[in-house]
Amino acid sequence: MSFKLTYTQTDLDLTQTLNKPNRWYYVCLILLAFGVAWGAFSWYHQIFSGIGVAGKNNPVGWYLYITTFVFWVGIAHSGTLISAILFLFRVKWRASVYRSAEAVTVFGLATAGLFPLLHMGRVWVFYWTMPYPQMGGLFPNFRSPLIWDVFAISTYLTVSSIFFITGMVPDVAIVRDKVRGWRKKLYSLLAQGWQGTDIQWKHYTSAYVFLAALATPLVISVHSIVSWDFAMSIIPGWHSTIFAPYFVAGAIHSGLAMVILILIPMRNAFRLHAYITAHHLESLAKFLLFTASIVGFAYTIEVFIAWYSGNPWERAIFLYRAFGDYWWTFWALFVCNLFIPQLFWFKKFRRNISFLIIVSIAVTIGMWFERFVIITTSLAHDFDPYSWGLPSLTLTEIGIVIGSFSWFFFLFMIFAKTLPVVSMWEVKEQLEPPKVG
Amino acid sequence: MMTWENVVEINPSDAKKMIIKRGDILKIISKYGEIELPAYDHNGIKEGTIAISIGYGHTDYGRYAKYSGVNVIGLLSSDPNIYSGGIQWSGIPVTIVKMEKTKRLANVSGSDYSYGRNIIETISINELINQSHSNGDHTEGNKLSIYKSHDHPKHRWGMTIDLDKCIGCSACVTSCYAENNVPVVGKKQVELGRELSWIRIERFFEEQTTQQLESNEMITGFIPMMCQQCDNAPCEPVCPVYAAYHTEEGLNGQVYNRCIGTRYCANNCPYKVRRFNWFDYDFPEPLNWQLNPDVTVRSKGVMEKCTFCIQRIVEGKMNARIESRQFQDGDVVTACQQVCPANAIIFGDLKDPNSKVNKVRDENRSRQYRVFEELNTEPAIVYLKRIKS
Repeated sequence: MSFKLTYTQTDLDLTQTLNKPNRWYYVCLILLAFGVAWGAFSWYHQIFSGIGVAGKNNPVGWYLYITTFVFWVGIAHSGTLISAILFLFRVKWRASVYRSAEAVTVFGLATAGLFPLLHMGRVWVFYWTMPYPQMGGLFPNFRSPLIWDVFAISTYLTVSSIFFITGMVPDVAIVRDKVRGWRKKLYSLLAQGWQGTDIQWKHYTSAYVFLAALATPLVISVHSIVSWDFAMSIIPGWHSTIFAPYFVAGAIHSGLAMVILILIPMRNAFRLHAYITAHHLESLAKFLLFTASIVGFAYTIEVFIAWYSGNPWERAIFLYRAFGDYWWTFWALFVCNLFIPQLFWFKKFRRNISFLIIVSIAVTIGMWFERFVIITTSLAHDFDPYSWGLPSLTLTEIGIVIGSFSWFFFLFMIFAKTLPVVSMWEVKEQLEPPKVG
Repeated sequence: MMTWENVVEINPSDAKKMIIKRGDILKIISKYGEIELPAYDHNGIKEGTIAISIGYGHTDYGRYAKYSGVNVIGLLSSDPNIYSGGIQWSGIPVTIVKMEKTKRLANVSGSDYSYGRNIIETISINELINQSHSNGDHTEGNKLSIYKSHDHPKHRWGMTIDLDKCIGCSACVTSCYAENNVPVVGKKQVELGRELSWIRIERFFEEQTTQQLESNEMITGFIPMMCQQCDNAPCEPVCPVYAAYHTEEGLNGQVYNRCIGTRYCANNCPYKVRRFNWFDYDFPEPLNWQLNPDVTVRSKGVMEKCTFCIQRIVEGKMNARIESRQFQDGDVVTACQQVCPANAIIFGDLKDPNSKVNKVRDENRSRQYRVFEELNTEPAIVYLKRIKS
């Protein structure tokens, strides 16, 4: 299947995504809004009653909130990888997928950023984690990985938002020229006076490279810092030097799965088959296979080191993970994140839309459980056997987790209908220019 | 270790044979009646027997006694014991029927076994006699560090706990609750694992082969566990707002007002002695009148833990100043130390070479050890090993 695209055709196809949505769009939006409302109500309940309405207890101080936090930060990683790193490496297939991937990054961070607040015992004093001049001279503790987190996440959110908005400027200008009324004002603001002159393009492309170079180290650093929330502690199963690369690979792994999961329904809904082709999805699938292998390698190394180090604590926690109360989640990691993606060695599976969806769902679930296993099992069975204990599931905690998923997809749905989901200018860059005269 | 309710205590090997897990509801039927209670596998019970504690299952006696646990008297014979004329408390044949129900128990111990983790150390008399005093010191720690250790210009508070004296009576636990306004969280919250005790008696069973019996036998060990006031405290550096910090006197301070409740400190504590206020707990009338006015009542969302009775330390130093004299050993007695009937807990200033806490350590050099020494947390609490006979 090949399509002959022209500049005009591209503009037409990629701005029709902004037309008036149909009934199903609103149905989805309302359902998601209910999910968000459930989460918001749960949070309200938690703030007024105390964090005890969530299922944590004395050994297990971090549970589903931190699990989901790390999950969303991970989801946020493929966006910048695809848009910035692959841009610097001049990978052509990124052009049609990077806008959605960047949206996944920004909204993933907007969701992840809520969780440090959600899990705090006294959220009303959250600003104490910020460095600001305080009369008593109090300042945050820069030795605490949680403070590094505050800076890592806020930096990443700032840079990826700027990158997202900047990457859209020429496209938004096209939309601006087509709409009227209040929309015109909104898109004019976002287009920042874009005219498409040569000098503007010159500055624009150099600024884009610059931003890409700025965003690239963040892909590595942010999830490394999130991993140090665990690695800097002394808890067996957390205190490990492999955590930074292991978490970064895992983050990209889950992020790619989420991008595939979002692209496939989107291209069906907007009929973007000419832009997001089987080749694009296949490239993502290959990438997923690559990250699956790194993640699988990390799992194996972790188990090996637990044995090889001779550290009895480390051995005990890995035996507990494999055969203890949450044994099935541990084996689910290997199945979902390592074995199922191995299907992508075969072209048949990489080209099959249903398989792409199945594998991506498996990886998404598997990566959520990866964080669950790391966080919950290590806390439930650490040094002192007398203090071992298991957390419990509560409606409030589940409500907030479901609310976070609804919030993410709610934001994405709004984005899909307000901003161009595929970069027109970069797609056009790869087309033959129209002949003049 | 159970709180708030009674259970059917059953030997683990019996439980294994009958496929009974902890928390499974059992129906106990005797000639005289039947009751339903959760099972609790326990090494303290002889094989082939069960035990159930009395005193539960009241239908009256106020808000806490009422409907807590199950009344076991219904299982007993109405005939008096032929020798004493009293109730026949034991020797009742019963049938156990496993019901298809389980219950989360108000059990405060996570595991009954220490898995060889050397939390409770023992020493035999022969070892004790043969060991020279110089090489028995296990509390020096690893001095190799790129970081400077903390300065303690005036005092460094410490404790010595003699496990050979400790009888495991839990008086220290009770006194700590009373002294430090520690809330009683109730049965439901204990079931969820949220008891707030700052000090606890940990009990472990360990299988041991004895030479005389030539068989395996379970021995019991117990140890009072509370905040170890580490010099290299894992809780301190992870707090994002300095709510957990190191005081000049070597305590792991906890500023309730500054705490934002990330719970990282509790996660990172190897002794798991930090306690979180999951809710606002109330002290209903007349319990409010027993609150200690010298100690803050904590609100929801903050972490708390043993402070070495800091209010008493402040009072002791203050009294010395009022009386225009130097602070001397014995000016501060912690609540747990005060009530210990066996004098197992000794508190004092480690900077003062003549303090009792130091003297006891010196006298028992070959018995001293610190829990999880290999983690290099440098605790201020030194335990003295129990002497095995």
